[in-house]
Amino acid sequence: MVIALSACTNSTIDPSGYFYSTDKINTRFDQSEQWNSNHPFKQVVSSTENYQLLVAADSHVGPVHNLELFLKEAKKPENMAYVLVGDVVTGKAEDYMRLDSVLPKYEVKPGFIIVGNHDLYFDGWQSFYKLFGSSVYYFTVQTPSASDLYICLDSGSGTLGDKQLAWLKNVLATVRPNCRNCVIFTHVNFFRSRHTGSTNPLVTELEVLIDLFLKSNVNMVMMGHDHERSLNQLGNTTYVTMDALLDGHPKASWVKLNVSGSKVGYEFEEVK
Amino acid sequence: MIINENTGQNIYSNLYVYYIYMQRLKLLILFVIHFYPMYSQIKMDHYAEVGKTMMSNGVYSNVSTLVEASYNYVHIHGGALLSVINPQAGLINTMTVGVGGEFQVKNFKMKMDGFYLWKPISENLREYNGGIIASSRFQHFGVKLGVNTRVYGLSKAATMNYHLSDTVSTSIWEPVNLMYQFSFYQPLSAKCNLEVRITNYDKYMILQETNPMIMSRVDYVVTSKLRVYGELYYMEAGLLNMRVNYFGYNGRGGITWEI
Repeated sequence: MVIALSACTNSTIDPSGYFYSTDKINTRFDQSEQWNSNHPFKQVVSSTENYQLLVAADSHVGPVHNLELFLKEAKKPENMAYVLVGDVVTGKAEDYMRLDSVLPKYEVKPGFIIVGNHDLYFDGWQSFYKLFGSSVYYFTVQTPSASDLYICLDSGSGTLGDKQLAWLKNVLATVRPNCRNCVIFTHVNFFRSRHTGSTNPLVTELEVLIDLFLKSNVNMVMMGHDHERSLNQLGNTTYVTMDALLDGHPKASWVKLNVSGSKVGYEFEEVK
Repeated sequence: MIINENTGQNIYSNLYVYYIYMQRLKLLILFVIHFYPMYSQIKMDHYAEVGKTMMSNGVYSNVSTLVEASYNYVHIHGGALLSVINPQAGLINTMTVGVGGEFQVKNFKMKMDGFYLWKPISENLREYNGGIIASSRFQHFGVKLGVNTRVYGLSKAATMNYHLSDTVSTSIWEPVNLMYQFSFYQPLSAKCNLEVRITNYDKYMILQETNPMIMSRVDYVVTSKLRVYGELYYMEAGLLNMRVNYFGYNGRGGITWEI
């Protein structure tokens, strides 16, 4: 907490959000659902059983050098789509505009973006919603023999909220059984594998989510927020916290998410 | 193995888990009763609570019994939180045991406590916590500081239910977490006291150090041995750290008495 408060001097932080926020998770969820009702969930089609997605977190635009390297990599034919797991920008309107000027140059693959806490600073939700619409949705990848489920969650406020939790339970109960693999993307990392000032969902929430993911046979949960990679496994679920993609980060990297039949694997690739 | 046709759950494993719960509760009660005659003072704390969080799927209610036995400067304690309405798992929500002592360095008095918490989150999942806390009380202020370590672990039932192989990890360990409690005390009358507290833990729950709660408490002294109290907890996600959002509340009424 002290570390976080000391960061107030950094102009990319909006400390007013530590005490009061203009957007609430349930309101954002309602808006996401409204957007979803007019935009059906996407299906990506793979002609082979084995395929790859490219995933990164915490690019914190302003600076876009590493993000552009990531997007260039995503254009390669082996990647079916890319996912940005929150804290894509600082939350400032000018940084959303900068992101909006960069993304179209690389938009040859489907891109999936979810919100992180930094994206919400400076009333950033308004800009996010205008540019990307929903932050709670799912998409599927259809292979010749099966369908894989990818669920994108909004944890930018440190909680999913009761409405999003009900939605998630429903998706896992109704859609998950028809899919071979299931991967969840959410910004705020679950576990404190090291001592850090970066926060996590409350233990009360983790107890519910870990149990739900175990029961729903979720293969992998991919997270960011902590800026430092961490790997945990509990039963059949692997929890991956990614390094930040942020420019200047000493270990900036992205993750290649490899699907090979009913196996979901990952491989970190550091930015060169 | 007997399978419930409606739920698909292994009945044997449910009964086994319930049996284990009861055994542990029995051990806890025997532990306290056994040591009762040795101790000069027994302090009991019973409370009932009602709350609602973003994750609780409606209002929940629990009851707790905590017993502390002390002799000279040493004490032991044990307690259980039982779910009454909207349980997350079964009847037993959480159990705790601990031991501690009081020390004095020159004019500075402090207490040290070690504890162990066991929580059956579901049939499949357990949470284990161990830690130590040092505390000191001044006229208007109180401070408690400590560390805990936490393990999320799968139960034997989960290993059977999900056919987990020996190579699969069945636990996640969080090595170190800071525990803190900063209290402000204000007497409201000769018999009534107010406490306002910022903390990241409670009797049966330890949040991460980055997730503080706000608590207010009013104590009413009925007799020198008996007092009643009310507590209200307010929880926010991301408070003082990221994008704040309401998370939940917990209201509690209880009695403490010394025997």
